Amino acid sequence: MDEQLSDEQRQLRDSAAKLCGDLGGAKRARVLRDAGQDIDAVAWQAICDAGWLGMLVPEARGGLGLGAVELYIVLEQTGRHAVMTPLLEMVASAWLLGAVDVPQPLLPAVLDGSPIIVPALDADGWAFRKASPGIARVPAFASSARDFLIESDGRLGLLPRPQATKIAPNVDGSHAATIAVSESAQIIAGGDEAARLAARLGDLLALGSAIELLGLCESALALALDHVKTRKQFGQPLGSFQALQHRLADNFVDLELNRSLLHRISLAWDEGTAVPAMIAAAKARSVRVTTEIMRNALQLHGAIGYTDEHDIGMLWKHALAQSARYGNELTQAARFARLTADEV
Amino acid sequence: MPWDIASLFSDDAPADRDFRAEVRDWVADNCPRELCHRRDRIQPPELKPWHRRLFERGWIAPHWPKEYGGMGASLTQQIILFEEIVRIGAPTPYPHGLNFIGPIIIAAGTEAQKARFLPGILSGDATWCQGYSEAGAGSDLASLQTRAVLDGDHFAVNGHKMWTTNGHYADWMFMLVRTDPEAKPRHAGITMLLVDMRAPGITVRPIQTLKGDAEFAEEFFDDVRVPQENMLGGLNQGWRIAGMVLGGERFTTGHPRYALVYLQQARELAKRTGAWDDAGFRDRLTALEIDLLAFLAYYRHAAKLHGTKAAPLSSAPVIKIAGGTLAQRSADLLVQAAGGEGASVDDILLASSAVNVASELFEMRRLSVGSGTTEINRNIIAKRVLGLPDAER
Repeated sequence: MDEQLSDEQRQLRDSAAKLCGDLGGAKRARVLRDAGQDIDAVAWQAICDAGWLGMLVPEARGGLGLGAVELYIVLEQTGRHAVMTPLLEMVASAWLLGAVDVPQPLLPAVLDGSPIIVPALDADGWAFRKASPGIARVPAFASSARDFLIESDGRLGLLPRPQATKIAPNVDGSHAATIAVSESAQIIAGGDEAARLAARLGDLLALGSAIELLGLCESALALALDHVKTRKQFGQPLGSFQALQHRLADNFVDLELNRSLLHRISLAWDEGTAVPAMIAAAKARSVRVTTEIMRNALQLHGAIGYTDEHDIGMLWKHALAQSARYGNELTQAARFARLTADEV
Repeated sequence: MPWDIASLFSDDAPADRDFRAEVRDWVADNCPRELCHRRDRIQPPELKPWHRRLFERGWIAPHWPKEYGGMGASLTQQIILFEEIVRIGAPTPYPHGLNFIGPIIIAAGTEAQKARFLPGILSGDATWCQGYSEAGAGSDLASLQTRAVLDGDHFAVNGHKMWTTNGHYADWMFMLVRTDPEAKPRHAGITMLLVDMRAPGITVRPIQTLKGDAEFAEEFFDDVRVPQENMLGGLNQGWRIAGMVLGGERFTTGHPRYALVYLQQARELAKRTGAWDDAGFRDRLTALEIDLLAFLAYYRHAAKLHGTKAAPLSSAPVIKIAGGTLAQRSADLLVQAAGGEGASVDDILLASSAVNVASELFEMRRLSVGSGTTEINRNIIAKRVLGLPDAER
């Protein structure tokens, strides 16, 4: 993809790679998990300082006025280095606050990174299975969020995090929660506007999480390649055995296709030609391929892969959390099937 | 799929869109209808008038330089021509002259060879075949043993070639022969010859394929005399010369059209047979349509980069592996959609087409074998792209 980037996009990629490489990593994610923290405060400050949160907000509303391709560039890096921050969620929340008809006084503060607002989705049209009415799922950053962005009765609103929010940790140390959608939400959009924005928001989150998975898979594949090139058994590097070479080649092929698909959809998003079925396909395939690559990468590591100490397991755990949020493989595949069912 | 394959993720610039419209209209007016949507293999003699019409329109060799009678077209235009021809179910010209040996003659031939061979390739008057594979030399092509010995101003050729598409129709064969049996590495002892198939000493025997048609032939060479002037490139330069085949070829052989057509037919057929109501069928269809979308994005991306410095080494094997696997699995699903008719020799009639599901199933097996097996392509990715080591000896 890199060959299609403009000079500005290249600079963005390089600075994102440096920031994420310096501050992120599987080891850092493990430290945060063990400390019970669902956000990397140091990385978060650096990301807020970089101004990325306003990526999809028009300049007229105080944002950077960039597009999904720039989001792709940054999320590939946060994924690659398993950076534990709500970048995607806040970019999406800021986009929404900047897209509603009535300008939101909260927007400038959100663009600076505080308060943290995390989408909590549950209803039809958001790409996820319909949960019980009145219940919303917060997939991550439930401890750090001040407000949750919810949809209720066809309206979009901000719900202050209830005092009694019960945190349910994910395997990667991120904090999920199930909350009751109460009357105290501040309504920010209703009617057709709410339905339209909610659908777009769901697509944006699904696309973003798929891009983070791409980065995670790149790291897992790189770890596996390093391992099989150096580890010797039967007097040979593991990587010289054709059975293993072919599995890695298949992983590479699968990932190449996803890279092109996600980049294409990002371009289409910016051109206004992205349709929901494309995004459903992209998330479904990203999760499918992630599962396959993580499984193979762990297997190739042998016993060391089955330890908490090794990075490959931490990458898989973070990938598992990214896969589960905003529509997993089968949820999105079923959605794709519904969206394309009437075509012959 | 709710999208038109020709426009989805398209890179067509405005000029390309005009060209596409022009080609579409012309093909509709000029392609013989009896050649469209055929499930039998159209043999070279029947294809010649269509080849000639494309030649006369100036569109037969989009990828050749203008000075040699081509269009000097961009890869995008080449793909447009291809897509608009296959859109109405029309056959594309055979690639052996136009895509394989033609560009090699242009790159490595003498002026006399260019003058002698290129016009017949363009007009379609000369049918060509490729003499590479042998009974003992498939994936390991460098082990080929058909022998050529220089005797005065002629080579004497002895040996056997196999799996030669159109071997029994060809006027000419471009062949790789062993001219130095002692060479190390083995591929340093191979030469490319252009051989008149009517020369004395050549015996051709057709081979019936799994699909049931006579696509291939095998050829026996018994002291066949080949003039030295028909050597292409230098002595023992054949391996290097053969590598000059243009990479653009992969964008027609690897085009996503097979999967697209099969999956559309599978949808239609499944609604009739009831397979549509089976969750298992729908799941598999969904997975393949998602793969098709991803492959299409990759294909367009690779086409855009083709010929630029940024074109990755991996795009040829990725297209080969991903496209081949996708087409095969789509044909497999088409058989499932047919239910109890899945093994029938007869065509199944659909609303706008007819399909022979078993024939398609078997035809698709060629994609993972011909022009480099899937396994060889995995080796290429493993070693040249991922940098995985050879076994230590």
